[in-house]
Amino acid sequence: MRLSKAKLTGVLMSALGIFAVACGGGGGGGGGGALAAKQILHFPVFQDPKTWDPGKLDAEVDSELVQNVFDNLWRYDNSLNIVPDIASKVPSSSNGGISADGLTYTVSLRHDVKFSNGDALTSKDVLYSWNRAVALRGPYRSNLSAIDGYTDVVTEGKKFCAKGADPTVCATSVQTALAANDPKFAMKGLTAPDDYSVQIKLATACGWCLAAWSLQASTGSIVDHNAVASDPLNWWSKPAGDSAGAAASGQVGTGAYKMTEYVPKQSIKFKRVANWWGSPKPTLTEVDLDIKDASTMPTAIAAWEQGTYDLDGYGGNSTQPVADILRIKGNSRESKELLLKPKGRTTWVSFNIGYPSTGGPFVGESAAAKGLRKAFTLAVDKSALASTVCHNLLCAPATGGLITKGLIGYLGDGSDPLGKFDAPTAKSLLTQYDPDGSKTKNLKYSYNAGGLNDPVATFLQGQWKDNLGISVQLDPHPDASAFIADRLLGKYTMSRDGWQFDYNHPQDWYDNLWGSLAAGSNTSGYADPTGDPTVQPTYDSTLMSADGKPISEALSLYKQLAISQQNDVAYLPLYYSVGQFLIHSYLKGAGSTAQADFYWDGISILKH
Amino acid sequence: MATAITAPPLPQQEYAGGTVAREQVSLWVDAWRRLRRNKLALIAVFYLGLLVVMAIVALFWTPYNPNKLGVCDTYATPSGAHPFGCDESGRDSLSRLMVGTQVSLIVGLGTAFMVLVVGVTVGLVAGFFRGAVDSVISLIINIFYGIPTLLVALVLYTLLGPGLLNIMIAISATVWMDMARLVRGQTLSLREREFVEAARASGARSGKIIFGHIFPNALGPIIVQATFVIPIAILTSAFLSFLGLGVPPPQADWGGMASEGVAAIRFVTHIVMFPSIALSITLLAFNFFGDGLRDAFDPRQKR
Amino acid sequence: MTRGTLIYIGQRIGLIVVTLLVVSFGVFAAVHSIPGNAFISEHLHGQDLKDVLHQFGLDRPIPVQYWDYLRNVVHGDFGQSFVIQGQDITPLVLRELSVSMELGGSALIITVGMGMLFGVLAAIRQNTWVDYTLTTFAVIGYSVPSFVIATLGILVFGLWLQDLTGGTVYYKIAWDGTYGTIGELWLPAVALGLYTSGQVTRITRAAMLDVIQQDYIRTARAKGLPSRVVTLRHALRNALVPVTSILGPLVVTIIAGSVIIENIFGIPGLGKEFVRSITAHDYNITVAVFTLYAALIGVANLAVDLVYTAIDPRIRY
Repeated sequence: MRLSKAKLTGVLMSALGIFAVACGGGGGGGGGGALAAKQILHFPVFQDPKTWDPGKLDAEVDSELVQNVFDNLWRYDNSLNIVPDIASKVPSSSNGGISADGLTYTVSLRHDVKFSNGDALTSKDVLYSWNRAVALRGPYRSNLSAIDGYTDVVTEGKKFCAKGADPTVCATSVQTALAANDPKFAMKGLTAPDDYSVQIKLATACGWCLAAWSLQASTGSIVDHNAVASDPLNWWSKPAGDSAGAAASGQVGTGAYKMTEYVPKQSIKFKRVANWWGSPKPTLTEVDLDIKDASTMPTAIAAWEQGTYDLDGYGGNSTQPVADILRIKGNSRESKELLLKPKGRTTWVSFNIGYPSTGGPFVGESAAAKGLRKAFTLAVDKSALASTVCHNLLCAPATGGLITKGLIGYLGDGSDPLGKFDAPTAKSLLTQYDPDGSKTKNLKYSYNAGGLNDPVATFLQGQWKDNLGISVQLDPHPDASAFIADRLLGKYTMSRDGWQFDYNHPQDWYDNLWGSLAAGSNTSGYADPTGDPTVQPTYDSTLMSADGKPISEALSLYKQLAISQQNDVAYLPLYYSVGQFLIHSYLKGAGSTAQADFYWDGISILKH
Repeated sequence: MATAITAPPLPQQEYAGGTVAREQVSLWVDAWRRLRRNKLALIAVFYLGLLVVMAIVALFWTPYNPNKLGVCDTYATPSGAHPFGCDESGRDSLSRLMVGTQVSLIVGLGTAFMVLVVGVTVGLVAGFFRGAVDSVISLIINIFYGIPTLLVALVLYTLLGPGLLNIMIAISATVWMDMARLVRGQTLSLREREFVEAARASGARSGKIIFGHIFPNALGPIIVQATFVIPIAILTSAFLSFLGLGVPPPQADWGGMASEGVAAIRFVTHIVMFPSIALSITLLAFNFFGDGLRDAFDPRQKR
Repeated sequence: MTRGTLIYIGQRIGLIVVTLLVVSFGVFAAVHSIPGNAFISEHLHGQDLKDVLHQFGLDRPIPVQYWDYLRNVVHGDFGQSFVIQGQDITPLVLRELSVSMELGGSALIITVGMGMLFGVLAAIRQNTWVDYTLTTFAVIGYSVPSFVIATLGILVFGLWLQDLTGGTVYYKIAWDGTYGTIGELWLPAVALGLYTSGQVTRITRAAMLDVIQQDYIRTARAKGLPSRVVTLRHALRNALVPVTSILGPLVVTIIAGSVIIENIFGIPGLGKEFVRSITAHDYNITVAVFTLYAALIGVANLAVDLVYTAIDPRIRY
């Protein structure tokens, strides 16, 4: 029941997405032409991998590539529905996969799954991979946090990993402990009744777990313990070896492709895995990537136009240079090959609500603080922002809540009262709560410089000046990492904020951004136990209860949270990002969801 | 960029006799007379004067608010209302170019001033006290000559953080050595001369000798050297901006504008064209002016 | 080689070593003090981030870290990249160095070749239109920023004359292989070399005029040697001396310029890497590139001085 509802929502949402953003066509519509003789896909990426180890992977640009190398028990299809991958079916309460209390998942694995080196995949590999991901304490370990025994393994992992000044020690120690079946490194809720079934017992009920475990190239992905053992820290950086068993080495996964060559700063090559177990059988024999510097993105577009590249924008690089996109948009032939796709990324302004030590007029939930937040919010014309700054190509105005269009939890176009533009009301709120202008003097808007952030900041400054008569100082930070660090500490009065969803579930937004669960990563401090105690208890209890329920029941609770945020003016919504993909019309099956590129295994090259 | 070759070592001034004051007056009068005869230098001075006027006008008035988005269409080509066209965010390019003049001039003159203060002080100290002090200073100068200047500026500016003053500090750190070396050489030679000997014999203090006797006599070459610092500073700051490390947005500056223009070059060319031209002509003018000034102070250099 | 020369070389090498130590420590301290780091993200912050920094030893005092770094360097280990985890930087930097050397070397050839040619022409046609044109061209050369020249080149040869150049300029994703072909290389090299060539022109011209007006040329002329031979044989040889003397600073200037040029043309060399590494907090790369360039400049200066002695017999140490 629950899943069919989710599926329905997903389909509905993506349909909405396609209608709303003028979609230029692009890949997938190739029709039934004959295949080209050479099935080698060639495209540029603009950074080297930080890490391709699913246990530690943290960047979209990395997961977009190795989602084709590693599999999870389930995966997202091109409409963002969860479908079986290594598991033979998606568990639900109706098919018996999930117990009545929602605490026990029984997963049966396919019997024919093999790693690219020939190693057969069994339930032991699932246990190994998940326990390893938790023990390594990577950034996405909390995807597995509902499993019984999770906290014990995290604590155990910390003993190794936080010690020496050497990451090798950490990786090797964890590997040794896992290889020795050290019970301290095994989550007690994760067991294998037999070679092809896995039982997952949760500590608390969890409506979002399946969505999180299915997140591609992340902590839910299955890796080959033999290959990892060959070099526990950097196994992923070497091409996949062909030997199975103890001699295995390199980046071995169960996906349709395997990495065969990586020259830092130059190129990466992937080849089709022979006799791959899955379906559909991949057509592309090889995927060749050039690693280019981000400054050469315009050059890459030129190369795409000349036919050097088959597509551009894959691999997490769908934010293209504006001038070139405008140029292509104006070219009748090329504009057909431009795919604009909402990317599940929302940008907003955070007020300092819950950090009294930083101060500012927006702190707390008093009528005055809320009123001033509302004044600043209503004074910004979000549609004008999208047309002036984004040329209605790079983003769409955020008028339907924080969760972007196309995802579960989207509230509907124009439904967010904070997404509206109402200068008179804004002005009167300001006069009401700050009659002499003393509270709103010397305000600063802080942001990390670069990309759209600069024009957006200038735009906001102009809006506040024009509609409220307030001069807000701009405070650009050249270094994003330092900015993020300070933002998470609540050091700014007003700051650029944003979120790109990880998996299609409202929990991914609400848990990570506000409430006590987000403590330590809560920019505004809204509903944070230390700084915003009036909101926090209700917020948290609603959130906890929503997180424990299947999505069909949880949706209304999440909506309740959204409405309370809107009433409390917890954010100033700005825009939803749109990705730009350039896909030659001879490519069949290429495209993108709001989350990720379409898998390579569905792409083929037609005669052209 | 800041290397010995941008300003060839200047020969020492020679003095035929008479009082110090007389010599100086005649030196300045002669220099001015010679500069006036140099047409290129005069044109350069005229242009630079216009530039200063433009920078001052831009303080009070520009055709549009240079930072306001959407005053015209994205990448609008030059027209009557917007003679230099518009940029990616629909800002008026002419207004931004005018405001950018301020950045270039402030960076150029400010850096020259910093270099003047640091270079002259260090050079005078090294040349006057000689010995161990001189050795240490010379070693430091030599170390600075041994590192690539733009790289120093890049690291330093990233460390200091964005801001006009920090740009000047970062650039000064890469160009002060020429000035210090020049002043040191001048001081070494001047301190042996009769009038300095005389001052010392009459019991003058070091400070008085340095600033009362040595500095005024080295002033000509110092001014020429400082003039050459200006284009180097403007160029370096344009380089920094071009690499995305310029003045913080939304402030307009020529290097940053050119950099935005290069990214759009396959779509429109006017964005990159105007700041590039402005920058080139300004640098050319400063170099012509500097050459003229050098020739004026030292006619034997002129051929 | 005299004893004096050997002592001189020893001193200079000593100065290079001192420079390298000072410079590497300075840049090490600077980049480690720049706010931010290569690890933080929306998902990795707070205590987790501290743990990671601790693992990499980045939470220790900078002098301690530097000492550790220096010890590794002595053993030939220049560390790993923080951005591409697990990647030793040595092969990376060496490959990029070779790319930059190809570009810089070509620019140096253009600089010296063109600069000296123009300088000689201007001198022997002193005070004619040839002279005026070439000297004005020289000033333009070192006034117009290299990125303006590069942009102009891209515009003309990459866009307007695209068919003529076969798309090798700009359109081509710069340098398909590790190295550029002549078609890909010439424009970046010219844009890089023009600035310094203007200076070489001026110096060559001045030196040539100096020599031409000297007595022994007049004597040679009086002896009846044809004037062209005189110019080339005597004057050119003497004009080489000042040009050689500025080769060291020329290398410095070209290195600085390559940072810009590599970024415009997307050339995968050291200059580009350097800029990226600073903003990405890839400390080991920044320090290595910086120190490498300082070493290069030191050695170049020393070599130039030694050559200088060889061609100008008046100088002795």
